[in-house]
Amino acid sequence: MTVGLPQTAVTLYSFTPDFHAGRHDLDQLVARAAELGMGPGLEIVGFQSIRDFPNLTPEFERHFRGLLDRHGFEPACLDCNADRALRSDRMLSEDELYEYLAAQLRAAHRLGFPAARMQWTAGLPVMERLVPLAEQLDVRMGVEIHAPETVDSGWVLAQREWHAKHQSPHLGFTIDFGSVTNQISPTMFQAFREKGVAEELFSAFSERWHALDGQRFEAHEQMGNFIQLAHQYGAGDHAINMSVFAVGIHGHGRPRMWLEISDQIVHVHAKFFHVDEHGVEPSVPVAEQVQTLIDAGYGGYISSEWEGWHWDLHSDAFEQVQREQRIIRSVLEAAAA
Amino acid sequence: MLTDQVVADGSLRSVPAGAAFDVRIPWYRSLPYSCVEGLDVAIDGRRIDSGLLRMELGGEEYLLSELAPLHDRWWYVADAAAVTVPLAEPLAAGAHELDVTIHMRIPYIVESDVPLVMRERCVKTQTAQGASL
Repeated sequence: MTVGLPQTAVTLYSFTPDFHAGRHDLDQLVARAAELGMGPGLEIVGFQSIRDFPNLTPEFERHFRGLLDRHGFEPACLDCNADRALRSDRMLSEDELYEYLAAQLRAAHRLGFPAARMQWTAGLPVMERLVPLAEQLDVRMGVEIHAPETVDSGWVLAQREWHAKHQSPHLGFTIDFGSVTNQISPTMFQAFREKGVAEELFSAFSERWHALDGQRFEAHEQMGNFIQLAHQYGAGDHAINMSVFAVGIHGHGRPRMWLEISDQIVHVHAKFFHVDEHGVEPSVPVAEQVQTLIDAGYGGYISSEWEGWHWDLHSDAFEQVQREQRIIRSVLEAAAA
Repeated sequence: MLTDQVVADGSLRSVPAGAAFDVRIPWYRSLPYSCVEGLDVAIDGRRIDSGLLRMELGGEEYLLSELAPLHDRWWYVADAAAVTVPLAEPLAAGAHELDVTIHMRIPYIVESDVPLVMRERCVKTQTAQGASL
């Protein structure tokens, strides 16, 4: 069997500011993304795009399927959430988490999604228990490798071992481009500069961030370190946000590492922060990442995910996704030629 | 995240009990009521006792302390929640500074069994609607 090249897709998460502010509803986002040729794949976050998720009315199911059909989209991936800390008094038990995620998998199936993005906080025992249901529904589960995790993180290694024994195509990984970045996005520093954060803090953050290259570290410890550093420079209310962004969405992996899990890639988030008018994204090596996926024999969707909106209130989300997809398509076209 | 959206633009109004305004989830997705961990409000620099605030969600009013057990009711991300602030007298006409911090537990970001709580502070000056001159 030959595997084709990956295909482009877009996650509506990229348009969070437009959706949150009420400028576009679900139908309008899908229409606009179609108009701008962002398919063929479409991805959504269940708890964002669907009221009362994961409960679906038959009307919504029909409406959603019709909406995608009408605009020529293929359902690519439904993002599920492993909300272990749903309750305020205790963590969910494994049984509760299983039921919580099973309901989301069933929703993915009903809406025609072939894949579901899962989160590692569910834990391998719960993920293993979900495999028979995923097989029955034929929804492939991709647990997301998201910054600061890499293919070498403890939970990833455990799941890789599980895969070596069981070989199920229904439990693999969703790769996030944000787990492989070159530096903290300059647009993030620019945004906090405009809020009056001291210039010295940015060089201190950069230095501390690069010191983690190639290191193993505990995310929450580093988060604490960055928060402390931010406070030393008087970042005040911005300290936590800046640290969450620095540690939690700018990862230190390298693309070639993905070749180690090439047979287990279920889905891909092409996360990025800012592509300028010349087509340059200084933090995320998009072209290199796409080429690595081609080398890995990956034939699924590469779903554009603009995350710059956390701090960048000026850029147009649609234009940003278009610019990133130009980079992705140029690599795909070169590979096809 | 979405810090500037915490207080909905143009939402401050004078009500018989005092003042009211709308808050939004400073996150990209819906969260259950149980994830609202706190709300701090100051109007014109005067801090209001959080125990007196009421939040209207899904057509019902709650004290903050009543939200904690409600992990099966969902605050949809596109919906605003009206916050009522009791004041000795209805809010006077004119511009008022709202200083609001909402504390939201993010239920899937958990390190060593400690979930992340985002605290987003939003300060806006708005003209009260429905206030008598």
